[in-house]
Amino acid sequence: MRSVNLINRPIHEVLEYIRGSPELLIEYLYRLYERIERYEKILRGFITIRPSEEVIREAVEANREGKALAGIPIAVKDNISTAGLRTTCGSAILKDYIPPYDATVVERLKRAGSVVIGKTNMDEFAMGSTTETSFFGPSRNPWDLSRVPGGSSGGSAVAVSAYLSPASLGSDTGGSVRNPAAYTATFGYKPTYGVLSRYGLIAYASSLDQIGLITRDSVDAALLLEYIVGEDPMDPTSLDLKVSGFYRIALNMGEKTDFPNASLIAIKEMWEGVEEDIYKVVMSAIDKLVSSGFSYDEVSVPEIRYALPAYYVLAFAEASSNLARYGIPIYGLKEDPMNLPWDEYYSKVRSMGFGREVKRRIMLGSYILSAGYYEQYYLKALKVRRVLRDKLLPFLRRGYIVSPTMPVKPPRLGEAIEDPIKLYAMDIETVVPNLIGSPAISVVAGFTGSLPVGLQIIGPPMGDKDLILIGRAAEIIVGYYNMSPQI
Amino acid sequence: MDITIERLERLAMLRLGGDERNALAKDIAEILDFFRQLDEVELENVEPLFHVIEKGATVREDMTRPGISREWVEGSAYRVVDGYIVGPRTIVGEERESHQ
Repeated sequence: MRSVNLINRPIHEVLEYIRGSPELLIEYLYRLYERIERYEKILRGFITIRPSEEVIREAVEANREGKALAGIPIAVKDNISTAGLRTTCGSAILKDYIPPYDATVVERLKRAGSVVIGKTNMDEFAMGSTTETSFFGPSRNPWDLSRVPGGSSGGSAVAVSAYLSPASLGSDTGGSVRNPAAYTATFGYKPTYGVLSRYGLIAYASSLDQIGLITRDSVDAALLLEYIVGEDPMDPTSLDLKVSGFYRIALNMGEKTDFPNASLIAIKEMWEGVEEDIYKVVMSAIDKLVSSGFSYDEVSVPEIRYALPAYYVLAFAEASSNLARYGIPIYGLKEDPMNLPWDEYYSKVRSMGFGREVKRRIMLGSYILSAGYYEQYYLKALKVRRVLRDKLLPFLRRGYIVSPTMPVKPPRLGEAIEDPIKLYAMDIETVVPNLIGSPAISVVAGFTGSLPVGLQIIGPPMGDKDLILIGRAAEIIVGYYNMSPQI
Repeated sequence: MDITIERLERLAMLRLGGDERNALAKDIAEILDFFRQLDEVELENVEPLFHVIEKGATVREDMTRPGISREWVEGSAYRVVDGYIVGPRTIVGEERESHQ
């Protein structure tokens, strides 16, 4: 039997080999588990890893049944519900919670023949930009072990960049898929709000949350998308994006293809506060795109400066409401309800179970929504949201908004976490598409030293397919995709 | 900040320890300052944007489908008596006020 090392290959290549070849699939999975065994204790990308015997058995079955994804494993961020498999949201309050159902996106992947290999580490309840607020401890960036992998989907990015899994599901509320993708030289995609069902995604901020993909390249994102899109009766905010045939176009795009003559638009205010070396790497990537036929111009939208406070007002407010459910003696952390009156009971359990960042956000969120302050903060933020949308949609109708994904290099562990405003300022580029509901991707722009730098590209609502194709063009022209760090 | 930490705790159903409280009070004051930037924007005739998608309210077919089983709930709850999930008591006595 021939032996092929499929580690470091994107899914679209792995599938060529393993379809109809369960032996090659088994060898591939063994190699993955070997890597997990070797690197996980340093990287800590996972919170829960499924036993190899189970995963291999399910994968081989899917392969033998001729399913489209043929047993390909996928890592799932730990705020996405997986039936029978612990789902913690990176929090003590859910550290033993086992969901009784699969999220729709997980169910669709399983139906297509993929197998969940494990649940990845994340900032607690997706609240953070570095994966340092996880109750289970931080993950490390495979490109520099002294630094964070980004967040909140840090574990998902670690798994893909260190090739512990060929792809991951993440979630993105203010950048939580694109941020770690940028910091780990992987491809990150946040869909148009509504394109992926949120049923089973444990809510942080419901008007901003989306499940996203972290993959080795944009072609893999196009491939997986085919199986997971579609309106979902269980999520009334879900939309119907048609994607058949789109993966083929992404796959066949190559050196000889005529790249779309797309317009790239930089909003001046989005580039304020970007570190010098990041700026240089991203501009050099844009220069390569321009040399290949893309056009580029700069515009000014002063209201962009208010995107960050507007985002945080809305996110905190919605989070305080969504997290009000924790503490009940039915799931998650609980105590004997006989001992305390209701307000003391809930306060005690919640205070024990939530970390500091979560408590901060819930308290501020409650304040923002309380009588007398609702107009002052929450309503204002919603108005700023409309202003931003009205200002940005015309640009998105004629081109794509580009920026660095992150304004700073990945911080060293412990560096960013102490100062909340400094932490929040990391999101300055990524919150914009969440606020207006637009799709956005992060592709590798290059490196500063050995640290990955991401280029963010934002598209118009429902323009996900063209956006991913632009991402593919960027990957080929700029020349970085399917990158692997030396660990 | 013209609201007490105690009131915030009550709104959020949280109870903080002494050190936690002091640290949080400082953070919260800083963050509220950061939010006040929103006062600089001209928002006179702007409607709030609650939803980014234009999809109207949709309903799904009124069909029964498998839900969460009684066994799962009873197995997961802390205390079950005669098929009822026991919660903490809501009537707390005349000497304590729940609302200020």
